[in-house]
Amino acid sequence: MSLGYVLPESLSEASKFLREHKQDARIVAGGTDVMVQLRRGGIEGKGGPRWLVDITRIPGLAYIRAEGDVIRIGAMTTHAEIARSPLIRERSPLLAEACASIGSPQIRARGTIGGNIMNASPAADSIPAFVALSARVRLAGPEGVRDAAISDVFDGPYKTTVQPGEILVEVHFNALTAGWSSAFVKLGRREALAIARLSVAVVVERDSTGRVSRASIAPGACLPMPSRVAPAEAIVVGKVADEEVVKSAAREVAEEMVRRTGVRWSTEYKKPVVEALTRRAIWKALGVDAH
Amino acid sequence: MKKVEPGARTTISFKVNGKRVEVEASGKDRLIDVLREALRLTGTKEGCGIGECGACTVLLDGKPVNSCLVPAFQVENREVETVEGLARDGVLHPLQEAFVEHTAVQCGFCTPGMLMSALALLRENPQPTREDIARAISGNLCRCTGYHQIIAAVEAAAKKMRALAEGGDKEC
Repeated sequence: MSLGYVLPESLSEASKFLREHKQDARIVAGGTDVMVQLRRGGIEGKGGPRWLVDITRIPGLAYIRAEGDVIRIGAMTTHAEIARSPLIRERSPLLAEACASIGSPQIRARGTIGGNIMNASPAADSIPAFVALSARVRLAGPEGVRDAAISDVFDGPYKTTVQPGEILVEVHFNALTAGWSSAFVKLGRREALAIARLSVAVVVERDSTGRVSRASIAPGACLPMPSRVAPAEAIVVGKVADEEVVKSAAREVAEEMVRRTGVRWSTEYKKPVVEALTRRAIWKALGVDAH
Repeated sequence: MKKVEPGARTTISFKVNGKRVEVEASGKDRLIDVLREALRLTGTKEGCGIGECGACTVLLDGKPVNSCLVPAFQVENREVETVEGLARDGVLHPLQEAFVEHTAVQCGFCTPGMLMSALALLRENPQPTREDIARAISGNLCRCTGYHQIIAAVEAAAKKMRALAEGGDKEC
């Protein structure tokens, strides 16, 4: 089988084609995941799509803007653009850090935020950051536009709940305002071109007394579905963080991973590492460099 | 909406190293395929084919990209720069000269990609630190040099290019 393509100039053209061709059609934007998958399946292999739908010519999908306290990022925005955006670096630094850690300069120049979300890799770097920010995505489809919570988009590794014909057009979330701080830490096998073995995104809010009033802890690459870990967040909230509190919250994240995934061959390694990484991420979010 | 059937070929027109070219390509052709096969610009190397090694790095509208991950149809009307565009009238680009002078080339397979990543860096930041250089070439693997000679070469080229720019020569 060989590969055809279409170059839609509007969302409705793209959406219509995608709905008609369902699994036979695949969206391509930056190509950094799709092109690798095509090659792995053999470019002319059986499993792959028959059509690529190139959405890069559809105008108006690449932007980063603030509307009041809401930050909106267009799906076609690249990782490099997010990583160097002064707005993102100032008002949601964990997302800038997550995007700066993706792949290599070449990958970041091409890969898009919409693609990173919709590829739904358990190791995607931006996803824990968006989950910690309680981000929402906007999907444009044949029946119009709908918004969904980021965690409702995923249906397992590399699977989404998005319907044929629906296209992710935007991700938005509340900017971190006074009192809020954040961190993203990632463990890869090397510093560049590393797929996350584990990552942790943390967002915390402290009141004027230094007590943690709200917390969001979202680990990456270790849960079957991206999500926050509420029992760990509950340990931190209402307290002034000290080593005891941070350690027990970190332990809770590791235990939650085991509860959700069961004991696997990798658990012996992952459990202490998730705990250490979470501890580091919480301290980093609180402005303390802990090793 | 332009539509090209599976298996069909169509003409793609774009600029390579400042010259407009037209090539025939199908939906499964990648940018590296049309560069190497149709245009015979074999300076660009294919290493891993999955965006991990950076050997196939070229500039697309000035930005370094892995040409093995770019579908050929996406470059229509865009500008591509390859290693063949560096030397002018048989005179090496300052980056190439510096690579030779600093023994930054051993087997040479990574060199075209390294040069293109370095070129993108120096255009954006004519006075990079060693740290900036290391980060700019972090998507390019080299199995021979251990990177130090490459970083030294880019540093020296930056110096050379700044001197040339001050001398009023804006060729680079």
